[in-house]
Amino acid sequence: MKKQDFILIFALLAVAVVAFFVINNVISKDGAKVQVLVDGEIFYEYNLDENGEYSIETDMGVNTLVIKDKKAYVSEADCPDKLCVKQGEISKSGQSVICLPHKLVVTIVDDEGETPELDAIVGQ
Amino acid sequence: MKKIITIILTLIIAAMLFVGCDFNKKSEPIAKTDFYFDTVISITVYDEEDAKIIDDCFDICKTYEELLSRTIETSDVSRVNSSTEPVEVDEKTAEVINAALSYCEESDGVFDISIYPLTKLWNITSENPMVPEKNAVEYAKSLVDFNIVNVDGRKVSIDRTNEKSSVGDINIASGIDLGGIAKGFIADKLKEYLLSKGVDSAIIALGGNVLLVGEKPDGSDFNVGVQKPFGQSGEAICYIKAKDKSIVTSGIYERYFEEDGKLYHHILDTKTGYPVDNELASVTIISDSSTDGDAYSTTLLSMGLEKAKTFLKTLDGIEAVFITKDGEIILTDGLKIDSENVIMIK
Repeated sequence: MKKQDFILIFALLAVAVVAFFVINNVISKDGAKVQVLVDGEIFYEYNLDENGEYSIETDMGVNTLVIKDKKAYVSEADCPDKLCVKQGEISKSGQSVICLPHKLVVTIVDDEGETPELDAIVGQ
Repeated sequence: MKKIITIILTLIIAAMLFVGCDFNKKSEPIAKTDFYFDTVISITVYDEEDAKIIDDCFDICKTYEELLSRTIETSDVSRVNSSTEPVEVDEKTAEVINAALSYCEESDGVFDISIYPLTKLWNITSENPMVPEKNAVEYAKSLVDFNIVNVDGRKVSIDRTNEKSSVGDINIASGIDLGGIAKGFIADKLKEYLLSKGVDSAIIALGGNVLLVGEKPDGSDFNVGVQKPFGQSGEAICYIKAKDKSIVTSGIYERYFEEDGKLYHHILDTKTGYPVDNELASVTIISDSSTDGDAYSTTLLSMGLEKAKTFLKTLDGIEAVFITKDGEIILTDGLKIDSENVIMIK
């Protein structure tokens, strides 16, 4: 093998290593998420950092979820009590907005949030 | 041509780097669950791949169960409980009894292994438990006194001079019940074994007791939820972040029955003969030794909040989380709230 071959090998390996760390540490690392659960199942997941307006349509009805300036709230809903709208904005991990008639829970989860993954439970 | 081969080879190596050398890859923990002492035991080992280590742990459990169970007729404990003469026991049994007796003395009989006639009378783990007759409770209570237990080397005897030949038709006799300490003691033995095998990261969950070995493979604390009293199974009221510690909870919600609208649970007051009745719903002990955790969680729950706090001042390296019947969480001085509902050692 010539010297150029070695250079090429090292260059490609270097690209691979850099790409590996970029993929693992930058791209997959994002902050708090807004989880939308319908009937206990995760329906959608949005980034809390990205502003947007989403229509959550299910068999039970429609709720409009707004994410703005790292806060999430339900702006409109066709449920009878509109409690989800009245609950207002949430921004911290573990907080949630609940629409009982639509079995909808909007909750904020953080990778290092206050509801961390359990390793064990004592006294069960 | 040669160049093309070189490029292809390099690309293959690069691809292997992606696939084979995932630096963030967590090695899969090995975990097993089995049943001993009428309870579930799960052992999870994070940094070893040989499942035989866990099988060996279960063998240790089995050995101790055969020695200490009060329901297995051939166990050392059963033989002691049914004998009027000194009984030669395994040295392991003698070791547990000696350890238990020291907690009895230290707590002045709040924790008492001679509680056997009371636990047998109440028989709360049976299918149809009921409140026993008052005179039966009185008699059983009169037999509870750890001073009747004598250990001389491997010979264990029970002083039966207070026993009356018959009280009604109820068969109540003096005896020992190591249920308040056996699980903690065995957990400590399992941890000792795992450490001797080079395990640095594991969780021993023994019937609701948790004993942490080391820290998580990534170096962080384990996160242990504390069962919410009378909540759904697995529902946590708070979380404890710790490494290498024993975490043991005693709670009045664990085993109980209701009669005439009143709740009767399994932690019996050695002074009254009836279930402990104070402001506490559960006590969680954070300590190094799980034997300590097991004995003190029961002791402190029986004492009630104020007496427990005073008693704790005489102990070193024992922290407690009290949960009252009102759902209030009270911590000892060595603990702090890290974030909402997350408790850490200072």
